[in-house]
Amino acid sequence: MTEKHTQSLKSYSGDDAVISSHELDLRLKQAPEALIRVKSFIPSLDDAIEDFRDGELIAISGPTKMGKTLLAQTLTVNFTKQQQFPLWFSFEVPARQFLSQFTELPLIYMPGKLKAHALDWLEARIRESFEKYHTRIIFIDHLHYLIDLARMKNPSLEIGQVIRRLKGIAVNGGFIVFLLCHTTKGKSEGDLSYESIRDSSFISQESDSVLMIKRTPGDGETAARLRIEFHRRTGIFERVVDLVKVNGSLQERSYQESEYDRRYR
Amino acid sequence: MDGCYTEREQREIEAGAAAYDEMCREELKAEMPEVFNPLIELYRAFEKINLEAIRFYQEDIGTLAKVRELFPDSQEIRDRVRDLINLEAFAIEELKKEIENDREAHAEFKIL
Repeated sequence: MTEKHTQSLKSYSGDDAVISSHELDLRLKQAPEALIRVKSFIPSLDDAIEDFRDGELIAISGPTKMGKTLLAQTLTVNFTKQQQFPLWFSFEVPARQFLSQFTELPLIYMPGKLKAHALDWLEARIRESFEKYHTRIIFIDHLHYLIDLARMKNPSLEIGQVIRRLKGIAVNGGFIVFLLCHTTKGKSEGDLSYESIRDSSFISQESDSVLMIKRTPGDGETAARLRIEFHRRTGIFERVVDLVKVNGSLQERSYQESEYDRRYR
Repeated sequence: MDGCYTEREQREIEAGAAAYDEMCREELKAEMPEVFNPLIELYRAFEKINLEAIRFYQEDIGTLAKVRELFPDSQEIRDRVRDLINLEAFAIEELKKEIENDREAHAEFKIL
């Protein structure tokens, strides 16, 4: 190493310069703990995860037609009530159908046209939406539209790279990314856990939390069960929340309306 | 069977004819110059202005959200931003309704 190089390293003071834990601690104390914190308005979920915060990648999974999109749409409506207006990539459900599924259309943002299997395009739209509308919450329905399984040599590894990139987008941009993904098991195959997610190892390793949802017709026609498989920040593990569909969105079952009002309104 | 074709052939001929008719309609539609109607043009101009206003409000909501983030400890700013976002979100809904109403009226003029 030349003397000049040594000197330039010694005087380096960029954002990523190596500093002591004390200096970093002081710097972090000056910055807000989170750029955004949003509640789900599902009380037991909010208690378990202490709100959703920027930098988090949340996987929502469950068998087909079991309420993944409904849960994501419920969260969307509840976020807009807190004046956080998400950006949606609805690959699975056509835009017309997707928008008509809301009882009252909330203010959200969506690309006019979608492009599947194009992660660069997805990231560009996330940046565009942030610059234009300051959107910090992203919903992607669902993972398998981001990857081209037919062209993959090693699907598991390549899915891992996609998940890692999404996590990077969330952390570096200060976004909350909700990623919907399918399970390998059918709806009749008993209890589900994060191990049932297709290509699960990478998804659950990189996610900050995995939420599994499944309808429970035994508890009523509109009943569903949400399992918080884990949440990295709070350390919560396998927490179950019973839900019911009311007026086109999910609510926590047996939660008193008056208590709900006191807490959120 | 009355004609000289089998039922399958008859169905294929009819489907082919229908597809040809549709193709001709589309071609004629594309070639025909649209008759200038000042009322329709006016509605189009209104829609363009309203859409621009919606886009302005949307971007302004984004700017307000950014301001809110810059002052996380100021309750006053948070309250003001909340009220302004509510107002602008309401304005967007009103403009959207206006566009939808105009489109209905526009459609009636086209029929006339």
